[in-house]
Formats: sequence, structure tokens, C-alpha cells
Amino acid sequence: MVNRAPRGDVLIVEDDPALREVYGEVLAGEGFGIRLAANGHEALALLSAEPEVPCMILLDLRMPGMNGWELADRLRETARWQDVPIVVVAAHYLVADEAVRIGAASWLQKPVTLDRLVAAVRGACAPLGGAA
Amino acid sequence: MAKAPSDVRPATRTKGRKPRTDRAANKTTGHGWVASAEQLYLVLQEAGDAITVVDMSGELRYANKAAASAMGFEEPDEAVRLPRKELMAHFELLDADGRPLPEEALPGRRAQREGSAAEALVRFRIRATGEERWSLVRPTVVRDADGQPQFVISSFHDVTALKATERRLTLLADAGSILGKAVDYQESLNELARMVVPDLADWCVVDVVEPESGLRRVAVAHEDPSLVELAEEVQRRWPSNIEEGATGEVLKTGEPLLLPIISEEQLVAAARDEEHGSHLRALGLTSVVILPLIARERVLGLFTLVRSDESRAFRDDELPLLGELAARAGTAVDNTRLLHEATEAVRLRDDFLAIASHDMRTPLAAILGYLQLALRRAHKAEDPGGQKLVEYLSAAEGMAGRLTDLVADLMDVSLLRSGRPIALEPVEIEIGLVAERLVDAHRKLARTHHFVLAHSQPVTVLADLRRFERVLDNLLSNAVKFSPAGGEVRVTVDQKGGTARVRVKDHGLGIPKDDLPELFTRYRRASNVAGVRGTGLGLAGSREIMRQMGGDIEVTSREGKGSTFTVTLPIVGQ
Repeated sequence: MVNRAPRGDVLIVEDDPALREVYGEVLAGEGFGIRLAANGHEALALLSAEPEVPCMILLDLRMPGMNGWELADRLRETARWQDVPIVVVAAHYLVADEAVRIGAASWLQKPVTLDRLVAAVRGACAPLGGAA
Repeated sequence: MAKAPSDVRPATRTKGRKPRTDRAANKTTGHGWVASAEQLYLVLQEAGDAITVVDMSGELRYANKAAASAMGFEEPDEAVRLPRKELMAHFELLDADGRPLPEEALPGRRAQREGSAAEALVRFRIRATGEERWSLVRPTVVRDADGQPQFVISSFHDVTALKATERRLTLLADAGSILGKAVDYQESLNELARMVVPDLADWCVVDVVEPESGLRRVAVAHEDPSLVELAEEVQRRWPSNIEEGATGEVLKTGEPLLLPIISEEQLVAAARDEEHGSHLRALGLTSVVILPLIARERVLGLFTLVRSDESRAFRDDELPLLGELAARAGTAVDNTRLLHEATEAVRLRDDFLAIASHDMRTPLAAILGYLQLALRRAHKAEDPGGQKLVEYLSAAEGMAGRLTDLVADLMDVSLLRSGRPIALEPVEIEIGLVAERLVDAHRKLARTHHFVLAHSQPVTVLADLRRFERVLDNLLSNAVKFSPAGGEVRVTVDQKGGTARVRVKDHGLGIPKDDLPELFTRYRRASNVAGVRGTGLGLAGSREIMRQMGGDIEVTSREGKGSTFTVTLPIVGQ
């Protein structure tokens, strides 16, 4: 799913395949390049395989394998990825607090409307993507 | 004996109903007779109160029939014959708390010593029968012409029945106040056990039936702590089997069991081995009552009382009082269990709601997402049927949106009820517009009420829109619900200092003054949760949400005049 997108690439880390597909479709429609991962391990593998750093990461928290909290910790430990903005999209009841804890740029509580999702991704990618 | 016999004259009965003066009555009426010494002796002998005469050396010289019977003798002579020491050995003298009383403290002794003494309450136990008596004793010192004391007359008025009633009432009242505050029954049963020892029994033991683990000992009381330790050791080393023996029988039948005297043979038979037997002997298990703790026809445990002194063996006539105590203890155990179960059930329900609403979010998010995606495509499609498709998808998206709101409300309510915070999404909102939209919606629903909105200038705040709407919606619904006769509901949006205010004023039932302090502190109606409008937030939840947003809700109300609820929020940029 990797392509040269005018607005930059978005890494979507979400264990639910339906949500991954919906997020991917709508963001691709908005002109973002899409990378999909079902958990933290897959996300790290994708990041390491690509020389290009994504403009933002859309991150779920509760996932089997490596969860969102662990992935955020690993990203902060690596110079290359530590400044990539994270937007947390989770059903967690304290999603706002958790987002602050892992240093995310912003957060959305599931279920989200696609308009708000697009707005949040544009906001996070604006410095890299240029015209929003 | 104030008057000499010569002052007492015989009189004959006169008939007729005319009112008479006292003087006339004295002369002509009454049953006056001159008493002979024998008659006076009879009077003394047969008097209802006990009367004794003790000489100055302390020996009993006279006792009437009531005195003899009070001391546990058939005939007065049996008592008078005995030397003082032997006579006193028949009794155990006690103070009001049941502790030994020295003989010198008796009113008669004090009168003898000091020349006079006030009347006093004396409690004593007849050793032979174990029977306990209370008497109000009034001593009088009789002197000769030179003023030398000759002997002491004591009159005893038996107040045993009165005292028993009084003690019963006190005991039950004390037990009631201990058990009434029971939040933790273990603690109150311990307190109850300590209260009945040593007055009612030397030992008090309470066991409670646990649904899974059998009998659990919750209280052991004895005046001597080393004996309590011994009892605990016995229980640890030789735990009682609830299927067997006396305890098993009481648990099975729900009937109290009275073992007036436990013989050495019975003790040996009950002991598992010699060491167990010697331990049991050391505990002093002489007389035992085992009462069931019963509530709602179930045996919840055992209330066991033990007396170590054979002379104080339990009697049948004590069972009603003891049964009453056990019944109260049973009710206390039952109540605290019910309270605990109810609290636990509410907690489980709230946890379930929180988890269920959380788990519903992911599939809902996907449904909503697919619908929105499809809608975007349908908008772009050139297909002539596209317009219809947009219509269907919009309707489905609207429904999914409503379902999402319901799930979100459910989650809010369950989080707030279990005291956890909710994740707010604050945005800038103009509360006048929000109020206008909600008032319009309510205007359409409630035709009997007249809604007035006063909103002069825009007031912008930072708030979670959906939650703020829920709070306001709740207040408008309440205004309608609690003014059943209809009338005006006035909504005023304004600002005061740096604070935005929305006031909702109705002219309904109002809130009783006593209810005002509790209005925001508890969830009044759990049934609201599944309400059609999906709020279920209640005033407690509303206040919690407003406070999490940096605002508050307050109320002023007069019963019968109506209520005004005021929602406040800090204004942006102030």
C-alpha cells in the first residue's frame, strides 16, 4: 500500500481489520499514503523497512501482541521516529489522559466520525504536508 | 406501729350514701378493731413484704414467712435457727453489676454500725437453687428508753420481677443499638458478646454459617483474656463439626438447645481425646444454651452462652429473653449481608455497563465508518439511482449516530456511577445557540408548558458539546416532569463576571428543603439509565460532568413554588 502521496504517509496501527480498512480508505481518498499495521510489532517492522518516515501515526491502544503504550515507548527510544506525531484513536474511557501520558499530539475517542478523523490527521501532518 | 392499740377503736359499718365528714367517719365507720399481741404477730407473719429482726450482734432473731421464702426456706424457724455465718453462706450477695458484695455493705449492717442507713437495693443469689433476687431493703434501728439500740428491723420489698423486666429492656435496647449500626456484623457481634459477659453468661460465642466454608467463629467473649485464648486454641485444634452434636442439631432444627448441667460423662463423651477433654474442662463449660441466629426462616449461625457455675445453671424461663437477643443478632447478620450483596450487585452492574459500552464502540465505529465511506462514494457517483442511495445511507448513518450516542451515554453513566472520570472533548461552543436548539426540541414535545428563552448576547465557553447538551436536556426534562400542572419554563442565558450561566426556572412542585442537600449527591433513580431520551445522567452525574468541565450546577427551590437550576461554566479567554 505504499505510494508517493502528495500529503505524506500515514501509519495506521489498529487491530480491528474493519476499522483499518475504513481509516485507510478515507485517508487515501484525502490524498495520504497509507501503511497498515495490526499491532506494535507490525508497525515497527513497517517503519524499519521503509526509509521514508510517515508524517503521523494513527494509534489504537488496546491491541494483542504489542499494544499502543508499548509501541509509543519504543518510538520514543529511537531518534528517527521520536518526533513523529501520534494521534490516539481508542475506546479507552480515559483516552485523553492516556494520550497525554504517551505524549500524543491529539486523541479521538471511538467511534469517530470520518470528518474528525481527517481533521486530526491533517492537523498532525500539516508541518510536513504543507497546504492542509 | 405508730399508734398504740388503745387508739384503735372498733367501729360498726353504717349504711347509706350520704357524704360524710372525716370526723363522722372516724367515729362511726370502718373496720377498726383492737389488735391482740397474737393478731399483731399474725400481721407480721403474713405480711406480703419480708420482715426480719437482727440483734446487735448480727444474729437473725425473727423472720416472717415472706422473709423465709425470700431466703429460700420453707419455714421462718429454719432461718432463725442458723448462726449468722451459716445463714449468710446460703446466699451470694451481689452488687448491681453482678460482682460480689461484702456483707458489711448490706443496709441492715450499716444501720447497726452507723445507727441508721438509707434504704438500698440488694441483689442476692440463693446458692441452693441459683435463683436470683432483687430487694429494696429499708432498715430501722429500734432503741430502748435510754436511746440504746436494741435491734434492727429490716423490711424487704421484692423487686425481682421489676428488675428482670428492666434488665430485659436494657439488654434488648443495648443489643438493638449495637446491632442497629451494623455495617460490619463481625464487629457488632463482638460488641454484643462483650456486652452480655459476665452479667448474662460467663461465655458468649457467636458462629456464623458461611455459604461455602461452613461455620465461622466471629466472636468469643469471656472476662478472662487467657480463657479466650484457650477457647481459640480449642477451636483451632478441635474445630466443631457442624454436622454433629449439639451445634449440628440446632443448625438443623432451628430450635434453641438448653443443657442445664453438663455432666462429667457428657463432657468425656463430647471430647475427641483426653487432651481435648481437659481443655474443655478448663474452659468451665457447666451450663450451656445454644440459640440459632435466624432471619427470614434461615439459620444463619449460632449464639452460644455458657455459665461456669452450677448454681447459675440456665433455666427454661430465660429462653424467651435469650431467644430475643439471638433473633436480633440474626436480623443484624442478615441485614449486613443483604446490604453487602446489594452493593456488590450494583458494582457488578456498573462494571458490566462500562465494559459492555466500551466493547460496543469498536464495531459501532466500523459500522459508522463504512456508512460514511459509502455515503462519500454515493455523493460522487454519477449513477441516476445515486440520490436514493444517499438517502438510505444518510438514514442508516443517522441511526448509527444515535446508537453511538446511546452507547456513549451508557458509558458516561456507568463511569460516573462508579466514580471514574470521563474523557471530555472540549470545544468552543456558543451556549445560547445550544440552549436555543434544545428549547426548540422541548417546545415541540411539551405542549402543556410554555418555554421562554432569554438570550441577549453570545456567550462562548469551552465545553464538551455532547455532554453539555445532555446536562441541559436533563434540566429541561426535569422542569417539565416536575411541573405537572404545566406553566412557564424560563431559560435564561447570560454571564456574570467571568462565568457563563444558564438558568432553568420552572413553577412546579419545587423541592422539599430537607431534600436539597442530597439532591446532587446520589443517584436517585437507576431506572433512568434505560430512558428513551438516553440521558439517565441524573443530577449527580450532571454536576460531576459540569465540575469536570470547570463549571457547576446549583439549585434554589421552594416547595410548591418551583425550582431554578443554574449551570455555570468559565467563559473562554477570561
